[in-house]
Amino acid sequence: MRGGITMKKILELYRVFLRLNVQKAMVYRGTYIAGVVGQWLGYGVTFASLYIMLSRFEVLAGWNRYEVLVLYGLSVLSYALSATVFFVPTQDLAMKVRTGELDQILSKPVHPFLYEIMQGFCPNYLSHISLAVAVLVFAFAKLHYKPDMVSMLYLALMLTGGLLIQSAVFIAGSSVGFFTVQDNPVMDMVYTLKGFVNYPITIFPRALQFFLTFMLPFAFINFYPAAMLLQKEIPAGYPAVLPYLPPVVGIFVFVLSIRLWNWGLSHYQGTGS
Amino acid sequence: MSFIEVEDLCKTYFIAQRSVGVWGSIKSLFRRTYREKKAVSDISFRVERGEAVGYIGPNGAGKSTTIKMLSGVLVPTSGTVHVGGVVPYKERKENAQHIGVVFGQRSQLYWDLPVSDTFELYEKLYDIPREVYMRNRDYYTELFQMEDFIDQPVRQLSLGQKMKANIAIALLHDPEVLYLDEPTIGLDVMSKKVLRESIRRINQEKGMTIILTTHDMDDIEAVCSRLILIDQGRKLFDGTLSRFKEEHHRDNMIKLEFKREMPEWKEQDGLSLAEAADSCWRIRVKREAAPRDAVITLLNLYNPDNIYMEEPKIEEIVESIFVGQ
Amino acid sequence: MGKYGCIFGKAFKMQAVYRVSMYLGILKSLIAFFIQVSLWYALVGAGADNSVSFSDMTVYLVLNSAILTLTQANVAADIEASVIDGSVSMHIIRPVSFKFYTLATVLGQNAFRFLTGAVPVLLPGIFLAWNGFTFPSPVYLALFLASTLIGMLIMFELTYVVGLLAFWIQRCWFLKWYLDAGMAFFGGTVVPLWFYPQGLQAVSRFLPFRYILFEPVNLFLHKVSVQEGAVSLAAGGIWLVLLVWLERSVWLLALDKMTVNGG
Repeated sequence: MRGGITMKKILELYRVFLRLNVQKAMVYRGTYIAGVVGQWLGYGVTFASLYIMLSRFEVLAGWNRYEVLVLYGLSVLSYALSATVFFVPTQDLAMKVRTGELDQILSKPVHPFLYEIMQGFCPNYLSHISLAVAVLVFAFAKLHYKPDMVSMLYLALMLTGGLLIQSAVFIAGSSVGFFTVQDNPVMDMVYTLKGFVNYPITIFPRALQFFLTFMLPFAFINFYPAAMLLQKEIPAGYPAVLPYLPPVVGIFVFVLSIRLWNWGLSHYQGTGS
Repeated sequence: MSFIEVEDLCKTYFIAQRSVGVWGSIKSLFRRTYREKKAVSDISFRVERGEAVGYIGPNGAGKSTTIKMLSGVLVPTSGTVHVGGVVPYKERKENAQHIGVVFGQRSQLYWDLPVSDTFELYEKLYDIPREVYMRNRDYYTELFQMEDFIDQPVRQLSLGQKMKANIAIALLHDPEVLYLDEPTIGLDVMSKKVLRESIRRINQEKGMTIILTTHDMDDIEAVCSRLILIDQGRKLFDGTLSRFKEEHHRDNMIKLEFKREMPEWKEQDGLSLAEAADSCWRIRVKREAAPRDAVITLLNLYNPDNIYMEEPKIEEIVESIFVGQ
Repeated sequence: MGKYGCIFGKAFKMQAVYRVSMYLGILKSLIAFFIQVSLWYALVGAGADNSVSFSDMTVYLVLNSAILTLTQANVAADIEASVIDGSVSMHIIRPVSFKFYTLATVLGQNAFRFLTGAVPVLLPGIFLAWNGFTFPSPVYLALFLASTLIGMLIMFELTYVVGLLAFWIQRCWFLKWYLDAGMAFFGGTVVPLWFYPQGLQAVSRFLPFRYILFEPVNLFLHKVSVQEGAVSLAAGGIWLVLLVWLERSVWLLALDKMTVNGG
């Protein structure tokens, strides 16, 4: 790592940038609020559509409407929490490489990834977070779900796991930016692939269930946690330990994505182009 | 009747006052307070066909506003504009066929496509006859030395290359007049040189009327025979370049450089301190005073480490005109 | 090839510059289609609703992606960008109409999206829908084509009017989300309006969104009588006229703002 920067210093810097970013959002208060409402509407409509769809069809692969809301709610919540920190830093890497902004960042006495995270806090995801929490509370209430200490702890752990996986997706996806000269097309692709876990993965062919569990572990973001909480079937023949694994999977892919990013960086510095 | 006739032209902007706080912004939804800003006031001039006129002034003088009224983008608050007998803002599309406009730094080019693609688009947009298009394309490609980059995507081009392409595009339909708003701003020395030379040749070889805004005197010297100087929306000078130099440009600037502690400035007849920076002074020498004497006086008084003769900046010329009035 | 054909062509070409993105785009639409097909197979296959067959649903999904790609471009973001950097003023001193320039650009972009987003799902779509699919009769086909055209124009007018708001509020890219939300909820692009409760269906009749996609599909699948189809075609036409009128008034105000107060 470059320079002797302490954790304390990093947190201090993060706080400074955080305040700056919130102030920046507040300068255009109207736009900020209109944007938040817009996102609220966008995701609210998706939640409502799921609700309407399952009010008509009653069950989707054994999941009722409230259970599907929990499934989607967990996905949105972990995404929004992760995006608050990682969306901006990972968004325009290809662009920054092209414009030379990255070189400028590299000349700073902080690891470039940390620097990006510090200045990239994005307060816009408050809309997703508030909406997802509201939907989760609503769905759990309808399911007569009684939260106890153990299940709350489990939920917190699972959210952390989901958050780590979502973050890994951001980081790994953005590291492609070191190798392309154009906009990064991989991110878009990843969003599409995440569409798989908006619904119980048991509606897909077995090969895909395998893929989403063991190859691209998106099912750990929400499917396994929700299956555990709501006592739903996991794919037949899969180890019963899977619903406990999201945090482990999360840590694993998160570390992997950081390594990928660093590898991309060293490739970039090696070729210097 | 002259080709371009501008009479008592005025443009006043009403700028909504930004309100403070939440309550203020709610209030401003219903009732806004406006501040008047006179961008152009009572400007009149005439331009004949084939003239190259430099429209010069400091930042915010009203240059762009005038060009926008000439080209038909803006409607004047009062006064009249005629270009080739047409009122630009009333007959925009008719006017468009006869003018070429380039607003500095506002690119007309497709970012991801080669310049040649935008060329083809303009052939269609302006219904340019095939042979005219081919002739102009070849002529301007050669004139602006664009052979090397015309087939490259625009995103790979330098600022100077993009400016050349933008000007060439504005000329493809053989306009009668070319308006250039700050064409050299931010360009490197070589690009500036090629651009000035090309614009001069267009004026001379094609007899095209050119109106060019700038705050760089060198642009004017290279291209224009006449200049109009404005500041804060008002016309301060209108005439030939040589007359302008006689009247206003004779003040000489001397720069003194110090590598040690700066001495204290003492007022002298015919000399005034125009600018004092960290380690140098820029001194204005009144036109009555001989530069030779001034240099000797300054050397004796301050014993600088270096001494340079300089041209005055446009802001300084404007200032001297005000002082002279 | 006229002016607007050329603008259309350039816009199309711009989209095709990045080859990798293009191939990934094709793959993406296939995946998204597959997800939707799996979802509706699970739902319709469960048999809680017999009014709509899996074949119908597949046709719906194919047409959905076709019409969505044809109406996808974010006009608001484009207009916003040119208002902010001032280049919009160049449009009014060119011998073209800004509206048709925008429309040609949008159509060029959308045509490319149609080729990469809708055409690829056609083959698997036909394969999946084959069982139980009947091709629409000439009358229905004609009504379908007419209402699709009107639907596309409604969508363009909506996005264009919203885009013109950039003259007053500067930042308006997010307004597309409002439109998309309206389109998703009341236009039935996520869940067909067939499955909506009565109340919401009634509301949707008074909004323009259902005439963009849902009504054309209804005609294609013979889900409504010719008479009902003609009524919704007329309703779409009225919306279109209203929107054109609104768009003209807004444009005149925008032009005024741009030329009198310098934007």
